[in-house]
Amino acid sequence: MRGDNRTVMGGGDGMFHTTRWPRILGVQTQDEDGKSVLLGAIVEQYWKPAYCYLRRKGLDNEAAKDLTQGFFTEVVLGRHLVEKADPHRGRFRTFLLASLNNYVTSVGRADRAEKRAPPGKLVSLQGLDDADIPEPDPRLSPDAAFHHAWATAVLEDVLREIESQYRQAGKAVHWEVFRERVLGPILGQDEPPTLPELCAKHHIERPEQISSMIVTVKRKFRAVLRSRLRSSVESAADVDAEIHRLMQILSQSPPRSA
Amino acid sequence: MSQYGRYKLRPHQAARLLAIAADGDEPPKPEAPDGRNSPADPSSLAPVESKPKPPAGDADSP
Repeated sequence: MRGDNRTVMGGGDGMFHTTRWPRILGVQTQDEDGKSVLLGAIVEQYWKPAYCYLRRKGLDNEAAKDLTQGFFTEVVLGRHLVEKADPHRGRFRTFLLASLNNYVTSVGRADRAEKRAPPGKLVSLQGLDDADIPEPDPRLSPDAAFHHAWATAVLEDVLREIESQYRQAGKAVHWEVFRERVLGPILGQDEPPTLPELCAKHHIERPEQISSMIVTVKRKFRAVLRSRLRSSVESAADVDAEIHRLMQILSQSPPRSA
Repeated sequence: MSQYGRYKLRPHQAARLLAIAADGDEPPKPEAPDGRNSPADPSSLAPVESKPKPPAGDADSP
């Protein structure tokens, strides 16, 4: 998958790839090396949703990790699941969830006791930092936990990406004012600083400049998110519907205290 | 949150972030005397670095 022919779930290199229909189609057409890279990206994108689904199915941490490995190794990779996906028949994640459910049904309790770490650890959750392992909301159904995990993973990845882009472009202040003024309050952190406070902290002359930076980062966030979602639906016209669908999914769970 | 670090979003937090993408810029809140919740004047939202909106996926490249 990567250079050493391994895929370690969790995006250990800081990248977190999105499953895109074109990528899925690429899996159907590219050479073996290309397929490996693309399949690795898909595994990275979907192991958390699969794991959360299995936890909400009643499996404990180790069993859920084991079965997640088994699903991606035996079904997604072994049975070339991605190559069987048809973009015209619905969302890829819905297809994957149905396949996961079938897999769980087909695996007997005794069989689950077998460790599924594949030879060469082609797909491995072993060694992941505990912080990387999501803890699904116990009030969610397995299906809802799967979709929640997918939606939050996409958003977390978008945040990482735009932060990285602004910092690498030497525009860290753009990111910082967005983080302090917009993201922090959303994450339940301290009360947002005033514009004059941000001006003083970041040595910016006018509050209007802060406002402008925030608007710019919001636009960036919007563009990157829409781009990600665009690649998971069949047409650009479906992006808005996908956003509202995700908001609907995420609102199925009441806010939890911080 | 660290540089390029992990963001652990809860569902309601993720929904609020999605609202940024769904609804555009959030409406300005009433401006307090100390400047909190400013800018109240929508005109102040006009970006200094305003650019024409590029196609999705290539916007506002920093």
